[in-house]
Amino acid sequence: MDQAKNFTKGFIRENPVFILMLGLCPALGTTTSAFNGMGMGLATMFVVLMSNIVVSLIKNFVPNKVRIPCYIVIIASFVTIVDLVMAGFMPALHEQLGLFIPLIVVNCFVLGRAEAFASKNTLLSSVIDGTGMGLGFTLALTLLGASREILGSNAIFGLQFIQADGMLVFILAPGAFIALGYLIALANRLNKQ
Amino acid sequence: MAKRESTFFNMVLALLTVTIVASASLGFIYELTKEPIETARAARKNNAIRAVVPDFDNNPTEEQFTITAAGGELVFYPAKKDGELVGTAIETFTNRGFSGTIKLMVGLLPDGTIHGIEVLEHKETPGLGDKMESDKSYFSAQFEGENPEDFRLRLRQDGGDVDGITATTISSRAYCEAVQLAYELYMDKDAEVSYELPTREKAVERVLEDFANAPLQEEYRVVVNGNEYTVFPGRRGRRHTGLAVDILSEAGYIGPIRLMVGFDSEGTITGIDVLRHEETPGYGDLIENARSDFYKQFIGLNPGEDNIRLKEEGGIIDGISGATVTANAYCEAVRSAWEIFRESGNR
Repeated sequence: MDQAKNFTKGFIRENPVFILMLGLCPALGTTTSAFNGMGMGLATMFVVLMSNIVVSLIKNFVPNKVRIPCYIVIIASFVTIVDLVMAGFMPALHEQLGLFIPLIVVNCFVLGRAEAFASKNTLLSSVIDGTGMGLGFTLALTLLGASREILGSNAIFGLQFIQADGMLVFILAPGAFIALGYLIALANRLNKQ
Repeated sequence: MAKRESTFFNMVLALLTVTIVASASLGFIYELTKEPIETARAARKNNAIRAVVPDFDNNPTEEQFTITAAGGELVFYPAKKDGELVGTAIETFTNRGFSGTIKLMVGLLPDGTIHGIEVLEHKETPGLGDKMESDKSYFSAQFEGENPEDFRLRLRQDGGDVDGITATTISSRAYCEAVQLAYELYMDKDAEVSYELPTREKAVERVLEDFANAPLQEEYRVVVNGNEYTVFPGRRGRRHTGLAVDILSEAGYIGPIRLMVGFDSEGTITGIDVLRHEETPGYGDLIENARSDFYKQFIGLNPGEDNIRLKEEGGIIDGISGATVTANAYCEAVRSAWEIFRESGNR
């Protein structure tokens, strides 16, 4: 397999959020600002990468019938590790994202990579896949967060550029769906070209 | 290595290994991060204390004490300089945020003036409710230097002096409530602050103004339009001084609203208390006496002469923003109570 292609496929071609439509719950829930989106994306990326590594290593040891419970335990452990380490060493970031970190466990995108890729491929491919897809997820969440923040609070990464209230709806749940819809359309357009 | 067969033994072995390794690594990480997490938490609390009271040289966390009130605990941290009290940081809370508990650190000067407020913990909507954090908007700044004695800790639309945050009424209300709680307990450490609704006995005593008998023992029924209602007469000697009416309105937003309405012998309202309701927290529950002054505007009115309806219905009552249906039902109950008063022959 072409490793370069394997790495870049997550950005647009198989972007987990825009094309595969996986992990939409955290994508909608956490992206009220670009910073939150990026933090959530990076935390998820770490979990995807680590669970991909472990799943790829033990893929032959785990019998087929119990593979899903095993993957879930592995993913949940890494999520808890992220949660604890963040609370201990990055309290400021944890304050922002603490609520959403446990949600990574139920992110079907993470389980999807373990099931669809890491359990069938070599360690190297899985590392590259995890990093690439994780970056794609981060990119998607940051973009979504940024567009919502720009429209909803007239700011980008917390820097206010117009001193006025933005369109509040973009901060709220309906705005998440609207912004995501347009970004999906855009990504599909880019994909076709 | 070929993939293992799904035999019973292999499955048990795989699950066992995975779970044991997972719990061992989690235990290890937990031990590793335990101290930094504690330190971070303590640092946050100390920073919050420092931010809300004037300069001090003691260790407020060593002198902390706790007061139980309103179904939870408030922690007081006295800040002293040269042995003299310069302020008290109070960790207060409310369960009425838009998404659960909000914890604040409120700093009061010895006379009760608010010196600063910091948010310790909340789960409000990012981008809206989180504007109550001091670094996200000027909302909390308006409290600084104000003394709740003459600065009413309620939103402007609820008859107070606080400018709420746009589109964040519930969070702003909850914030004010938490500050109010801290202030009340600071001024009177034994103050009974409770948001529980009164019992029927208590309500009767509260809504009747002037009586020397035991109205509860003299309760009787009045029939109006085929329905039976319970009333409690107030007397002084043989003279009737008033009547408390137990009334239910089915027109509430979610469920029935049950009120106790007190009248004097002329039919003028002497008091109202809510016995039971199921209205929305943060909106409809502002009819409760402990939560807003809505009830106060009824006192002194006589439904026989005054139009007990909301202003938008042509009456004279100011509604509750966001809770028109509830306020309407409340007015309706008061009007029915007066009908019962009139029929009771207790004038």
